[in-house]
Amino acid sequence: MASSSTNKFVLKSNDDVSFEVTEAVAREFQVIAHIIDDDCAKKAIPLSNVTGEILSKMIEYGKKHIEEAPVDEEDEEGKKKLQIWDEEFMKQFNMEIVFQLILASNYLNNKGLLDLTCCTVADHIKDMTPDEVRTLFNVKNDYTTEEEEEIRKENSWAFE
Amino acid sequence: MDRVSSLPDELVCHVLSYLTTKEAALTSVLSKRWRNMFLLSPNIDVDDSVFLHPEDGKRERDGILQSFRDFMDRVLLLNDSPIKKLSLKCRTDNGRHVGRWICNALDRDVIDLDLLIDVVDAYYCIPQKMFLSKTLVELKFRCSCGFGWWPGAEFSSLPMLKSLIINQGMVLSLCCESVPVFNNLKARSETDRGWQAVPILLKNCPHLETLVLDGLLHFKTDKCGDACDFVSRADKGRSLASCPVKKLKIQRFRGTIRELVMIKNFLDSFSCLKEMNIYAEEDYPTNLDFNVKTLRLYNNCCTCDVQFKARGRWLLHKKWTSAQ
Repeated sequence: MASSSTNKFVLKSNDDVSFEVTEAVAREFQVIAHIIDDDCAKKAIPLSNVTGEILSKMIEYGKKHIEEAPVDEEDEEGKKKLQIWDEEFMKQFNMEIVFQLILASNYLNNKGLLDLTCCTVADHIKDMTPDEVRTLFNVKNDYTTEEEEEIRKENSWAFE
Repeated sequence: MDRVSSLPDELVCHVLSYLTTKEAALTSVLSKRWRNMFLLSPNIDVDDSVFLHPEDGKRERDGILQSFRDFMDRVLLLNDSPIKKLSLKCRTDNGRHVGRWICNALDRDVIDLDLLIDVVDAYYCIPQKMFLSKTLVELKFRCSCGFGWWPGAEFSSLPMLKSLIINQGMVLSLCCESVPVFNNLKARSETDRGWQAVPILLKNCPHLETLVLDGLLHFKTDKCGDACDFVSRADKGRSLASCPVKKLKIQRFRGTIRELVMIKNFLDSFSCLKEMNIYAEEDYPTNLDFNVKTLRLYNNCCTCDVQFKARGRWLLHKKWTSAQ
């Protein structure tokens, strides 16, 4: 049986971009791991919810996390190195891309990337006033003035 | 366009779980859809010193404390979905609220409790429920109160607990009768506190695998047993010999002779010890060469693998095994 380092699989995005990846990288995404286990990965695996742009970034992330995986639970240095890489990796994206990455990593089930992307969004919300958050995320305020006032009053400990 | 609308609620909640509860609560004002969204977050993280700004007297203002307490009741009671983590750091003159919140979190199968409670009411006791959880894996508990907070501890049953971090002094009453099944344990030493608890603790952890000692230097008492260097050998118990710990981590090592003696004692006494990692405190030890030499000597005459890290480098590494 071929080892997982030599086995290759092809992932195909919804805009018809194909990526050849090793089994180890493919298995970084739970959904794909199941497809491999079910022996349904003979041909290119179509991913109907992911664009080529997003998929290429996800593969880059998966590769890095395979290559630089910490030796064990105790490998603090390895973890730190990967964490720094994660931070740098996220800096290249605008919020639009980050949201697409959240949806895609949820769809393909990669917990590490899902956590990382959600955490990035949370960092954007931190320290912002509600108005700033609304602007950043384009949320339409559908409260009446009275309703909003009531909610602020309800949580006065947090708002003041 | 409401961009976050494109994320389903569960993913918005996942985003909110990376915020403190105060930060997450502020999103309730964004829109109707967001109003109760933050209540679904599996993490509750509250530090009242952050929002009750003690310096400008906000805590004392009418209604603020009440607003906070009502809020906490709402966060914990309105929902019965499981909670992963409750991190609560607060000062209170009435422990009943805090006890209720802890109970609610336990009812919601909390896995990780991180509590720092400064309670003014000295007669208040932590609910016994805290020691009867089938789900609790990590418990970090520090409080301003003494032993009186732990009367329920002797009947404790915490089958999932893997990690316990508490003020040294409190270990004593927790471990009197009970046999909590810890795999990992971290104990922090203070130079003004004794180690009375350590032998009792070790005796009561028959499954202990990893022991982390955050600092070795502590106040000497006659009850530290064989964990300490102070008591003469004849008077020491045998808590170390019967302890199954395999891995010992020593942090904030300062390189004193006293610490080296204690380390030697650990190596001689912990019969199952396979690995000892020693991490020097920053700027210590000043007599580095002597420390490395002594530890290398220890390494050569015992089966345990002694590793030593100081000034950002491993100075003593994996044992050479070529002889075997």
